[in-house]
Amino acid sequence: MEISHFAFFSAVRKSLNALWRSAPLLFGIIFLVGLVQAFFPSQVVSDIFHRNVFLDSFLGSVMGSIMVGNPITSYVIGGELLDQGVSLTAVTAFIVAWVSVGIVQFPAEATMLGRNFSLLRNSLSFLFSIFVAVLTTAFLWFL
Amino acid sequence: MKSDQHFMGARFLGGVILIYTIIACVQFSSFAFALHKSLSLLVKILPAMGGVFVLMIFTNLFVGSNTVARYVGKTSGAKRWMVAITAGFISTGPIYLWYALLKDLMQKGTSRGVVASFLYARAIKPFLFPLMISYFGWVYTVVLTVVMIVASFVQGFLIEKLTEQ
Repeated sequence: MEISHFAFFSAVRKSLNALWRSAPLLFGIIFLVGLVQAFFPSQVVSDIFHRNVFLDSFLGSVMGSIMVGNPITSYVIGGELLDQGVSLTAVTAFIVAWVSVGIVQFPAEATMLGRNFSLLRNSLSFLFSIFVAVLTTAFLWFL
Repeated sequence: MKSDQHFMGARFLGGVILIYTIIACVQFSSFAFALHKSLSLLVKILPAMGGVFVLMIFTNLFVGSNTVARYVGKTSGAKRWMVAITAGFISTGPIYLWYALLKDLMQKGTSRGVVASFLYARAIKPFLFPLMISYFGWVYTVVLTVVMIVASFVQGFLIEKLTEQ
């Protein structure tokens, strides 16, 4: 398949633009993670997540639901939470809820697609983030 | 809206830099520790971000997600779920850019369940796999992707049944 120079450079420009839009928030989060690690020992984070599968995934889903931004940021935060001793179930629920539940986008979605639909979809997405987290870690345990 | 996102991110980054400046003046050792941790994290994710960039170019070059999304409205039967989930999987850009197209599809008869499947499948970002693999491993990435594809279908099916008139 032949690709024109124009198409290639257009794709590069689009990709660079997408990264450029996310860069300030991503760098902000990375440097914020450093601050959190400097001032909050991992014990504080471990105390919030009690290693109960369903409660941890519920907490992870709540945290992910209220956050907004590029999913890249969720992977960075999730990875660092994992290093701090938070369970994989909670981290999975966090990153899944981050991308599937849209509390911040809800007004726009409700206006365009209907309030009842948006409410139902977001509620199910929240519940599903818990199920997906539990199922994923269960499968990993078996593999 | 795109420049708003960059501007908001820049304000957030500015706030973090301000906090670092204050900490550097008050407690230099903590500042140095925090900076060291942050720079280590940055170095850790840079190779994966390179992979993300390459995949983004590939997606932008070869995959017409807008065209695929329109195809969602033209299929029926069991195939429409597969098309909706695939379209969501390969779609890029902020979600609010897709609302107008989805509204149009719904008005033309596409079921709410299929639209819900598309929206849920958007949670799967193939071009971010390099970063996910570097953090969580490829086995986790594969398992999570498969579970989320199934969840997209189940959620869409449930919403279709619940919103049937």
